[in-house]
Amino acid sequence: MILEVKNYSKTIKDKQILNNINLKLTSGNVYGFYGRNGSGKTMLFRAISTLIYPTKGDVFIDNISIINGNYDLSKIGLLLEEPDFYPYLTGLDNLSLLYEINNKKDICHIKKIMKEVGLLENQPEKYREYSLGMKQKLRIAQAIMENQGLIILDEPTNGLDEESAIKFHELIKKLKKDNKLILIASHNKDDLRLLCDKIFKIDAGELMGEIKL
Amino acid sequence: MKRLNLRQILLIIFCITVISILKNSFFNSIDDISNIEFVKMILIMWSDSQILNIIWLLPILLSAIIVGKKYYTKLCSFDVRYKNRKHYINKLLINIIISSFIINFLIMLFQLIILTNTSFILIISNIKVLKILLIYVVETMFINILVIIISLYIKRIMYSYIIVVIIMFLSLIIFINFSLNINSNYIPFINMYLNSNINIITIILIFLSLLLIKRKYIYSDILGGND
Repeated sequence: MILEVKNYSKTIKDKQILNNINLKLTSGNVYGFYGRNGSGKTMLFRAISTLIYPTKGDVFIDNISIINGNYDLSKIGLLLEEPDFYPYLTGLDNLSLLYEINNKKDICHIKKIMKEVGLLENQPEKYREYSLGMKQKLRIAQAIMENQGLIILDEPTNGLDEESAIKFHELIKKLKKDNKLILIASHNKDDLRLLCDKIFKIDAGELMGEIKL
Repeated sequence: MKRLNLRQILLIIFCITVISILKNSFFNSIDDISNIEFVKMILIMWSDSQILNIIWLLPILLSAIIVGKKYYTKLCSFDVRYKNRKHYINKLLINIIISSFIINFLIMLFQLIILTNTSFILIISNIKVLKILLIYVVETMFINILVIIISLYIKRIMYSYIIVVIIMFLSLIIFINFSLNINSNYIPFINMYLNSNINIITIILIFLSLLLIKRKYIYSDILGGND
């Protein structure tokens, strides 16, 4: 899979949110995006997942423009903002519901993914009773459970304890081995340094280029 | 796994029962479904008393809240699992039509069952009654969809959906009061007070409204802050 962002600019209410972003990213790599709060990391991820549309430019996956709405976006695993989980359902039930959107049913697979992210497969608590870390693990699980080729994770280690963060690192390494294209935005330098093949710095909506952390 | 909220279903049934009881208190005598005028009066009535008019419009308010709120919420979000926006919006528009039709039909049907004490089978096997139900359902569907589209266009206002429902309800009362004097069979919604034919203009407007919803959804910046 090749993801290309070409001359992408976004202006909202006369404010330049993203400024002429150009990127070419390929499968089997983990790319990090580093920047302070409000630098445009999340906006870039919103752009790649077509939640927002460009003022100028385009996004291509395998040479297909995703802006005109013809690309099958279910091939993207996305952890961005807070996903819509039902507070009165368990984690397993929530993931099953999301898994069923594209007519897929495989409880064993969902349980396996829950285990991989460090959740108990038969976690009895409802989502509203989950701790911050457990909620984050469930969000990661929903982003990777459908074996998508492109995985976009915005601040994935937020709320995770040290042990869970290590488990998350192992998971990302495994996904990389499976030839996934992984994008991670974080302000945690250690996460990016340990996981990413390339790290880009974003500041004020501009891609400042590759950096070493 | 519970997808249907039993409490909500019970609440809707309770609301329909209350509306039916309120309507019942204004009838001097109760008839059965063989009296088409009585059937029509149960569903469609406009009088000099605004309180009566409000009671008769309550089922529309109920359906606008049930149908519109669900789909307005869905139209304000997007998940990449839905394949892409075009795919999702097409699926959603079909769901809006089906849900709106079924819910409005059931709301009307329950009122008839309660107020005429007639069985479900007998009601749906009567072609004349079915035609009246169909006219009412189509006109109410238009109101449901109109509420959704106006809410989408004023999305910046917090709780725009609730605001639109209230404004629409009040506007509808004023609109009917004025429009009935014009006595035109082509005005959407007003048509059903004047005759017993399906208004083709309402059907056209329903499809135009759905196209507007699609256009608005396809080009909106979901989570982008530019809506």
